Amino acid sequence: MRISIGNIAFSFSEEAAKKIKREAFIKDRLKAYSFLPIKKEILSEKFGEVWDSLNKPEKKSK
Amino acid sequence: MSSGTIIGNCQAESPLTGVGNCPKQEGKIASLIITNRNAYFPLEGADFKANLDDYVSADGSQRIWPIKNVVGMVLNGGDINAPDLGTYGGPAPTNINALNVAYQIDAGDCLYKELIKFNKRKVRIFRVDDEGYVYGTVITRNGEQYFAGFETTLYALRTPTDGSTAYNLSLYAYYTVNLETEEKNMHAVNVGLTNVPDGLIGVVLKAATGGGAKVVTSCAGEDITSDYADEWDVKMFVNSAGANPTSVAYNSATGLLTIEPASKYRVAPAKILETAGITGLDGLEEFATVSDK
Repeated sequence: MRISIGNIAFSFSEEAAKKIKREAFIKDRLKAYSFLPIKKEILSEKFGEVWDSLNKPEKKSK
Repeated sequence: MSSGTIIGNCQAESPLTGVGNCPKQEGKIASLIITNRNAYFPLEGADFKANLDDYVSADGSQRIWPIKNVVGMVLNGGDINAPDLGTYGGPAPTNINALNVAYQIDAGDCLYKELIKFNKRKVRIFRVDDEGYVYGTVITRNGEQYFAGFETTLYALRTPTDGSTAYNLSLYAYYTVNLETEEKNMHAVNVGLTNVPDGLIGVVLKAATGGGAKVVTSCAGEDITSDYADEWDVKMFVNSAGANPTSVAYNSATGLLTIEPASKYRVAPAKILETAGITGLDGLEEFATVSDK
């Protein structure tokens, strides 16, 4: 999955995101990208959205 | 009196010597496409053309190696110079004197370093002329006809020049004794010069000073990270255990990649890069230790 925040383009592994809890996923990414000149709150919100999107329950086909 | 017959076959086929209104003649060689000796492709021009890009990064025997910038060629040897059949009647064709052609290539020393990997290797070679026609031959496998290159043995050499440059890069193609048969079954398809794909460029991941990483070409060391900017994807990098990173970020302000979690990563092979959206590059098996900044 890809998102952009400012002039940073992120790519996330769906497989990795599905193996980790939401809080841990956000915390680890914040640590890895703490050097970026982007507010922590914004990063936290975006990483949360990424996890939610990658862990969306699959709709059962009728 | 002896018995037994050996029936001659030189008149088995009747040559058709008519000439159409627009006879195609092989033009100046613009590119070469090297293939494995056992590679064969669809005879139909549209099918061959449609898959050309895929063949460049194909795994196994179907991979092709395009070589562009062929600027000249010199013929050596060949049958007509055969003088060794004795004195009776003078020289006569024997089809055992292999033709070799030196294709002069206008490229740098990095390509030379790659081409010498072909030295002494028996391969097949398609010639692409300046009108975009790919010349090869028809071979039969399991009763089906396919398009294949001419059999050759390759040797790359740098030959000294008159001094304007130190060397000319020449790729010698030693055609085999099958050339006569191959030329009788010659086949050409028009793919257009613009559709001849580029060869792959080897790339490696390098850790940048102060954190982050960049992707550089393995020989010339050119930083190509920004060329692909937001196309970099987690699938394009693998660690020494074969796993992709959790995330990759490209910062257009610094031109650097951040790959996390910290580990040793390499750039993925050509096929994976192509599937993920980047063509023309092949990640070499060289790992860089990437740490969180």
